Amino acid sequence: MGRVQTLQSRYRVNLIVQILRNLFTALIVGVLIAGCATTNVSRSVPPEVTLDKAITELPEEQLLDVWIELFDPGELPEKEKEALGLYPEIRAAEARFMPAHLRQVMEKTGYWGAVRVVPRDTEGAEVLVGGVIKVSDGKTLEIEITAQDATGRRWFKRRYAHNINDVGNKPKNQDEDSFEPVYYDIANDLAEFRTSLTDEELTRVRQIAEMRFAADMLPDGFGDHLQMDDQGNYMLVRLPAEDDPAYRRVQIIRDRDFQLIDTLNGYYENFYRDLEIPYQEWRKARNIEAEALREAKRKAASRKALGALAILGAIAIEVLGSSNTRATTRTARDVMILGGAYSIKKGMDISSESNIHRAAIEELGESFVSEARPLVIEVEGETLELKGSAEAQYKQWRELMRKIYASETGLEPVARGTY
Amino acid sequence: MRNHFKIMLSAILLGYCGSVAKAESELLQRVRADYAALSQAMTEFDRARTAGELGAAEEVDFIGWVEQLVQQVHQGCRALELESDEPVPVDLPCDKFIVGSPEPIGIDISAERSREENTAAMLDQLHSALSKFDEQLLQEQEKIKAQTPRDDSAHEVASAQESMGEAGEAESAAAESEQTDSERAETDAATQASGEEGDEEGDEQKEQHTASGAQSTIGSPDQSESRGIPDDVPDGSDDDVVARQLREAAEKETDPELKKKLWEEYKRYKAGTG
Repeated sequence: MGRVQTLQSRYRVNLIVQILRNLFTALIVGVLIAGCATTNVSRSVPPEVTLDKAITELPEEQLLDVWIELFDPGELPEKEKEALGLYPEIRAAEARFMPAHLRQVMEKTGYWGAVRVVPRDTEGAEVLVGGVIKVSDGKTLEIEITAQDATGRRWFKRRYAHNINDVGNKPKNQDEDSFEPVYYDIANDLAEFRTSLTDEELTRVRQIAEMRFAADMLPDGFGDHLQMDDQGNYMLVRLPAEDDPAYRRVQIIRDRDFQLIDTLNGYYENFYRDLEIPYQEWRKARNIEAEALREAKRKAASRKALGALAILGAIAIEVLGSSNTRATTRTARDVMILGGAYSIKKGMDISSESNIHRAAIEELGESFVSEARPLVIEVEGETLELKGSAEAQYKQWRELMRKIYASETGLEPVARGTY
Repeated sequence: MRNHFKIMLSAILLGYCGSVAKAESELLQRVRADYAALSQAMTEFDRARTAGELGAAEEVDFIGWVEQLVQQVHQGCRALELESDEPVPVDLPCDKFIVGSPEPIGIDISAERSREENTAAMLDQLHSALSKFDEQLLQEQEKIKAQTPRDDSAHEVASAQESMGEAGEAESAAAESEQTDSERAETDAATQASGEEGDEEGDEQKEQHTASGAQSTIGSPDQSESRGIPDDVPDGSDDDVVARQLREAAEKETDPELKKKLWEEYKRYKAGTG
């Protein structure tokens, strides 16, 4: 009988140990899942990406000009905790900052002619790069990039993502943008596609860009120099004579167009320069706070779980244990209950610490918004005003060009909008 | 006595009516004369132009004369309409001159100008608009420059030099295009506009030439020792395109302050890429 009791007692102790083991395993798995779930990114840019640069100086006629449109700011995360401290004003600033940074990176490569940032829907690019900000929270950057050339050929549409908290992703150079690999990767992909084009194709891109501008400026004279296929790609039908006076006038106006783009870039450069330090600091500080918040949450959760586990263990021994077990583990159970309670309290304290980090993240966001908003308003106002004024001028020039052409050739002007 | 009064009244009335009729007749005659002169001028203008007898200056005079006559006929017709209840005689097509604008219907003065005249006037307008746009861009660039801090990195100095170069090239191209033979054959007005533009371009080119002139002196092989390469600058054997350009710019720069900044930028770039 005594043996049976001993066996029963052993069985109960084993049962308790088994329950505790399962609970602990579940806890560990839970903590790990919670920790890993936030670091998942669909396509990751490796940290070791280096910028691909032209080994030799490329001939001028092979250099394509690149216009990078202001990015689409995208949507803020729907979940409140993910959107903490992020504001549309910050995205608006990033939508102007990121293309300016990409421009600087691309200029270092030696693969391109002029690389310029342009307002969205600006016509006339040889290569047009656009971007949509999918995620940008100081820790992760995910951008969707599209690139196409003047012929209408789509180069690619890709998503680039980088998480600076991933192992090995911390920038080695303090001055370097934390997300430099993303920009390098984009620049490398663009350079790779450009390199895949033949000299003839490169020339054709430049010619078509020029003829599209000419056709836009003077449809009567140059509208029929291009044709569009059913897929929306432009094909060159013929080129104007070098000494064609109307064509020369178009070229003069195109020079003005380039100067306008350069001037707009002056504003974007100033904006970039003014925002660079506050933006980097905000990203860095937000990431530190967000990391601290995550850490605090993890700690609080594990403390609470361990505390609960200890109390549950003590209760389980009390309920399931034999009188002998209860007697021998009394002190241990007391320690488990007290320790568990203390651990839960500690967990709650850490939870309240999380609130401090949460408030800090919000405050950082608000503070950065107060810095970025006036800069965005200023650059937007200046560029819109200049572009609007230029568009009014272009309209006038188009009309004059049309009349001059009709007067020179004696041909009746074609109704507007036919091209 | 009463008869005398009637006779006097009749005489006064007749006199008044006569004077009105006379005034109306004079106006009519004047309008007829103006219209006849206009018709004659236009016929003669067409003939002379077809025969190629008109010089540019004479053609402008002729157009001015026709415009003046059109104005006179228009005013005369308007006066006739106001002062008389009677319809205007059928031999005078006043309806063409009064309806709508003062310009006579069917007589388009701009169409009567030579095609070259029209083209020249429009080119003048285009050049003037381009000049205004250039001024506007210049003002904007000044504004941007004023916003850029003076102690900014050498990178921006280099960028500024680069864009100056690009702008200079663009202007030179524009100037070349403007001064080709066929453009020169365009009217005096257009030439004047181009000239004004050319002056501006010339000024910018002068600035650019001054800069490049200084560079070429310093960059000559004889003075290669005085390039002032700091000791901590690497030898440049593994330079990429950008580094090489920075190095060359630093070597050729004469302004010591700018030179220093360019070397710093070169070192920073090399450190970043090394």
